[in-house]
Amino acid sequence: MATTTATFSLRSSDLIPSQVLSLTTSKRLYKAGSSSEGVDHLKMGRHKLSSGVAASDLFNADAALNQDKSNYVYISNASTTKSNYVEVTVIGEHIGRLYAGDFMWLPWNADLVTSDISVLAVNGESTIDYALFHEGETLVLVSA
Amino acid sequence: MATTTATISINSADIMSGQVINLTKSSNLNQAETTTGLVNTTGLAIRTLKATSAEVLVDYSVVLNDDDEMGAKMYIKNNGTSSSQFVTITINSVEICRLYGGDFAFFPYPNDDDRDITATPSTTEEVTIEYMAIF
Repeated sequence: MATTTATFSLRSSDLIPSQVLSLTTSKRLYKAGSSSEGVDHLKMGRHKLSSGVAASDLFNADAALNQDKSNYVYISNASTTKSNYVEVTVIGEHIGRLYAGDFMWLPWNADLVTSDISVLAVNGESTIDYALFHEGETLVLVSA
Repeated sequence: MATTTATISINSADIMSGQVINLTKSSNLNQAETTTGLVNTTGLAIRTLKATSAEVLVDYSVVLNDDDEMGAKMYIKNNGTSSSQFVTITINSVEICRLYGGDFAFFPYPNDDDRDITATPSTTEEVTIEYMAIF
């Protein structure tokens, strides 16, 4: 069991007139259905996505990824070119575009074998940083 | 133009042996393909749900323009404490995440093509969520 904590804040002094926005929330990442046992597996890395290439699965929701378990996804577009963005989809549904510098955080339950999270670079090459905090997976057996 | 900054920090001293995880990322929320800040928001809303039916949190046709190049962002949190009850979040009826008590999500919002965001509790137990779209 590991102790992993995600903290998020949203701040602005001028988005809402006469009202400072200062929102902070924090959550310890537990296994599904538990309030004491933390997720204890991690995948973390960086990918370069070429433009003009079809969408690729970043996280594959097959049986190895423990469907309906806790999976916390972090993706960031590390690019600096403003016109380049990364399109993120779940089950083929367009979640949105990560422009240069944008990030997202998603508790992903991978409820179906088709619940893959896919990424696609648009307008040019992009580099993404990613992390998946999860409950573990079974490695695929080597083919005979 | 407004300046709104989102920051996430993910920390763990023991999820990897011999390697402390201390991931931090900040981002100014800008209009698509620019360095101009987003200026519109739904405001921070709090809503109590008591049924297992889908409730629309953001109706794209009312709140947002049909323009997927706005760089819109969405924040949603389950303010409950339950580790068994969850709230399913969908876009265009496709489940994208489940929020157990205390869980939050922050993601870009593709406000086009009828992509409403809905929340559906897994049980009839009362649960409060908070959310905010910035666009």
